[in-house]
Amino acid sequence: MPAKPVSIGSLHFERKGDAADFFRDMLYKYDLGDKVTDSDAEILSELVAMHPEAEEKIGCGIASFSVRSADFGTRCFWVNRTDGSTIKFSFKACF
Amino acid sequence: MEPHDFWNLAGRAGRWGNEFQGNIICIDPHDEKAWPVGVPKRSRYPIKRETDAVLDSVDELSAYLQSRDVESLSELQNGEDFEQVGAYLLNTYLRLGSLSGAAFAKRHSAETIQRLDKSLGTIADAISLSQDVLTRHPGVSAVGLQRLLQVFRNYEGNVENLLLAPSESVDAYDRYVTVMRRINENLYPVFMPDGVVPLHALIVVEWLKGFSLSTIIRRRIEYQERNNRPYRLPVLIRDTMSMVEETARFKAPKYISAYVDVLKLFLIEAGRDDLIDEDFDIGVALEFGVSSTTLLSLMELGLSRMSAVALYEKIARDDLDRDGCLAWINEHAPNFAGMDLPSLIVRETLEVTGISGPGEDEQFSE
Repeated sequence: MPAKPVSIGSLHFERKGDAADFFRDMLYKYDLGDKVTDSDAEILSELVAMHPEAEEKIGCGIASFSVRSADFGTRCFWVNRTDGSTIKFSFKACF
Repeated sequence: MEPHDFWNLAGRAGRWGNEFQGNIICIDPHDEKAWPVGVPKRSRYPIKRETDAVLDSVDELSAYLQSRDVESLSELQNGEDFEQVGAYLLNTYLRLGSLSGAAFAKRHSAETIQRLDKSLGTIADAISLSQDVLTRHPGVSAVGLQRLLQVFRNYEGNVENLLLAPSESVDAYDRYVTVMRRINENLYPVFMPDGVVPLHALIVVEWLKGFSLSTIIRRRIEYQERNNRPYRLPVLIRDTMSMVEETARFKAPKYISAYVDVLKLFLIEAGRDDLIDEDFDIGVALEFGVSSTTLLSLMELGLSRMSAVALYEKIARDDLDRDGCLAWINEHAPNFAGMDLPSLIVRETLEVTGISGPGEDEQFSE
């Protein structure tokens, strides 16, 4: 089966696996509890808009993104909404 | 229970300022299971200074000091006694230039002091921290503090991520996990084992939020049940109380306030002193288990933590000083009856502040 390319904003990946590697590297370059940089937040905004539950994840609007712990000792990206609420999302679910 | 622990506990019978005497009731003193060696006899227990006890092992102490800057701190041997005394000696050396001028030096041989001076001299050459920071943290190794400063200097991310997050922030728990791990790796392995760091962080954040001990315990029980994890209630309660006492009220104030002070040094050095919050003292906040100015002001008035937290929920402002709190209580005391505050808390508030509330006959919710 031919590899399926993925485009996220201005980023283009030949294969889903390349996109997954890119976001995994981004996730692990931060420490738990870190806010992501503005440039990474821009990419993550494009990414979360592609999530199957994007409307629910974004809610009233995105204030920032954090890297925090998730279930079973893992970590993931979290959307911090403008109303102070927060929700995690899986980058793999976005493409 | 060791005899000296038993008599220490027994000596606390009575109540300071209220009852000049009290009774100790020893239950089942003839039960051999409960009292395998009988009720401990009262006797004197000499107390030896920790410094002197450790200085008696000068060879091991010198070896410890020389190996203190190992890459992985988990390799450090001989544990906390050497760390505490080593930190104290290094601090004294940095302050005086030699241990020979310290009060304890006359209780030890000149050879011992010279030998330690030699070990400490090599280490001291690598320390560039200000005396002010060292004086504020005499029990934390200057080697560790220096190493932490270097970690901050080498940090490539956004320096705002090095700060503690306010306890009410969504990032608070995870940020404390990271800060505790940074402390374990660079200052001293304090919050161990590593797998329990998240629990240490959770307890610290809940304590800072002003949660009562019973709430912290209840939330742990709920967590275990939600995740179908078996637990023994007495063990869970004892562990939680011990973590509040040892982690939240002792280790965290000691080491996290050292972390914050070194971070302040770095922020000044990096021209980011705009990030320093001089109004918030994490050591005091952890000691009292409160994280806002209002809560601390209420406790400064003499209120218990329980009453301060209950009132804080009604005040709903986090920036009141003592006078602000008094003014609030003065204004709202006549309406305490309708605020769903337990009568015990209302009584304590009125007694401590000397403000008159509703008539004595009025009933409050229990």
